[in-house]
Amino acid sequence: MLEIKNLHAKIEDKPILKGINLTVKPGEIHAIMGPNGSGKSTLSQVIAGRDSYEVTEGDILFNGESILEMEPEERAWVGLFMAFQYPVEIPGVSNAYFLRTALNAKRKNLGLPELDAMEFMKYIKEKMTSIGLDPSMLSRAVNEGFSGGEKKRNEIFQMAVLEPKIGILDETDSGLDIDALKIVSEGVNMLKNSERSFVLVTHYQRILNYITPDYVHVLMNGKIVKSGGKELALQLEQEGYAPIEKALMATV
Amino acid sequence: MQTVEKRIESSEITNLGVNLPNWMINRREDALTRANEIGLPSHQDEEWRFTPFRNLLKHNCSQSKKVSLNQKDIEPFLSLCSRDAIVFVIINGFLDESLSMLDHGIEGLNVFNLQRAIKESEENVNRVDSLISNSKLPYFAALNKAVHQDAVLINIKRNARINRPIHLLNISVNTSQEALIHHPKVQVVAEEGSESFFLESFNSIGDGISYTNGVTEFLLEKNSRVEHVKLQDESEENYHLYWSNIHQQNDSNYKGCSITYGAQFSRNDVSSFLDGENIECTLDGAYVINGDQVSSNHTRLDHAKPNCYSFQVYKGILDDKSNGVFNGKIFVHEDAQKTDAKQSNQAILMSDTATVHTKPQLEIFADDVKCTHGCTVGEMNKDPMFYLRSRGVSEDDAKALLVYAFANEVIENISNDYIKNKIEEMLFKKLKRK
Ligand SMILES: Nc1ncnc2c1ncn2[C@@H]1O[C@H](COP(=O)(O)OP(=O)(O)OP(=O)(O)O)[C@@H](O)[C@H]1O
Ligand SMILES: [Mg+2]
Repeated sequence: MLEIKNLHAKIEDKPILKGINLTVKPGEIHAIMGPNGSGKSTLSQVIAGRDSYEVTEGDILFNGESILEMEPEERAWVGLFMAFQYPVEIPGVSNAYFLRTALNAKRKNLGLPELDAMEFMKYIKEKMTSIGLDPSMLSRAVNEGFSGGEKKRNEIFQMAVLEPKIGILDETDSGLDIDALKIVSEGVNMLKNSERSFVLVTHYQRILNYITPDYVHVLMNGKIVKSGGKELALQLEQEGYAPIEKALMATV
Repeated sequence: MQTVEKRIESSEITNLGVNLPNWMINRREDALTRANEIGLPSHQDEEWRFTPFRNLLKHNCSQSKKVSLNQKDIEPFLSLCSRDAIVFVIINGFLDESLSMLDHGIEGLNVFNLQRAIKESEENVNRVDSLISNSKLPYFAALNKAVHQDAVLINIKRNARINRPIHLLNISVNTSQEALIHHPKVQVVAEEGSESFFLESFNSIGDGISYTNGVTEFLLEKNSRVEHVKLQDESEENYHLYWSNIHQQNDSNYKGCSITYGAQFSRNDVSSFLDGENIECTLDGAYVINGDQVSSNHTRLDHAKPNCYSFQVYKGILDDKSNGVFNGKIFVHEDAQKTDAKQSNQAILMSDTATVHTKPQLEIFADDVKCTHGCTVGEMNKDPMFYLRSRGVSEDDAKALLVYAFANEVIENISNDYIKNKIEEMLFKKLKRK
């Protein structure tokens, strides 16, 4: 489904991703862990198509086709979704209007009829309750004045509405209280099926208690330096990144 | 001496086909002297420093003549205001009696052209006219005061609540090769306790070059409320100059909103003198320009007495090689304790070649006051743009949505939903014109 091959990317001449290889098959859940500044968000944003990063080498394939030349919105239409580590506040644009525009753009692209305001409300109503979002947030401006946790929940809600083929969650678990963490995890588990995959970027093993990953990868200094099963997350939680770093140094 | 208007005949001042009272003739002559004294904009003049006015001085105009239009010509402009509007059509500065609703039958609303005002309401004309002395006028306002050929004089009677919008529908008409100038003039007296809403629109017909040189004055008596939306969408051949002066008494509330979409060059000077206590004054504005358009917006607020509030939000959206100026002056006089004055001014540059100059200017002579001002100029912010697009909103839609949201902070305050929606619709069109 998602194949990242020897991906190199830089920002303002500073190389950040230095040869990432990652393959995610349908229905799989991958966790990516790594120290601050190692390039996790960069990877997420490059996949989503942010143009401030320049891909200098390698490729990203989605369902067998390169997406590097695609605009961010085109990537969304074919089924990519990235939940932001820092969701953006957009004053003056209401959540409902924004989400309906996004959904309809996608539907139009899939050859489906667009939903009017009424149909849209019906469509999102139950998704809303399952994510535990207050309906009043629909008329509020996108993320404006939302608490940290509300912003993260809003990301999951958007994902539930847009029903992507793959969801890349950049630290959606950071800053959540226990209840919110449960709700967010339930949201992911609800959406998870044999077709839909997830990449969870996280610093904490605790979310992996709720969502069981098939693979755990360690990203350091722009490269995936170690991969394993879910036990790797537990090991990292206990030992930190130092032993891995040490081992790497030794091989150089 | 160089003027925008070729040569001013003395008959333009004294002979309007009406017997003007002596005080008026004197004042018109005096205004011309004032205009000659100041002369045309120059780079030495602080008031014109950032405004690129070169094109403004390119033409040598004659004063427009009275022309008539039929109902069909004005149909598209009538739709700017809701159907319940009380409409007054002003063509090249002349109030058109046949197209205007002079027999509106609404109690508490009197509307006259200059001729009738002199007969029936001379005192009011004099009263509003003397609110500000000629010696304080800038060039174009002085020129208007010297040579305007007609005027619309409106009187909202004591405690009258006019619950239908009053539409002052200005059209500049020029189908000739020659550049023409006209000088629309409006004076409003909102008497004690009255309430009224004005849409003052400026549009144009014809390919010829027109200069609109408008003056609009308001006197708000005690406890009166006026909402005033000015909407300028003239052809991009046109030059638009507009000077508005508001004088407010105790407990009055003036809420103004100035929208600029059209004209190749526009300059708006809006000032309010808060001459009482517990006054509220809002001077909002949005200018959305592209191509080679220039829009220069200047406000001045005088807080003369204690306990008054003023609010100003100006938003600029500039694309291509357009050029914008915002200059907001706030004077807090010595007596004006407990003044609360807020000013904010923001601009988005949609291209590398658009420019904007902003200059807040606060002069505070009282000690117990709250004044805030903020100013931001930026490109379209990349973060919201990417956020929207990453959810599948196309680039064009995302741009339109964000710019719309930006300008909407000003537009959404308009209390008349019909007009608000109309102005939003025009915003969308203007943004998609490219
Ligand atoms: N605009 C930029 N200009 C220069 N350097 C940048 C820019 N954006 C990111 N970086 C750098 O790229 C590196 C990777 O950043 P990134 O945000 O991908 O890290 P991360 O792994 O997500 O970290 P965290 O765990 O703190 O979220 C960091 O060193 C960061 O400073
Ligand atoms: Mg990060």
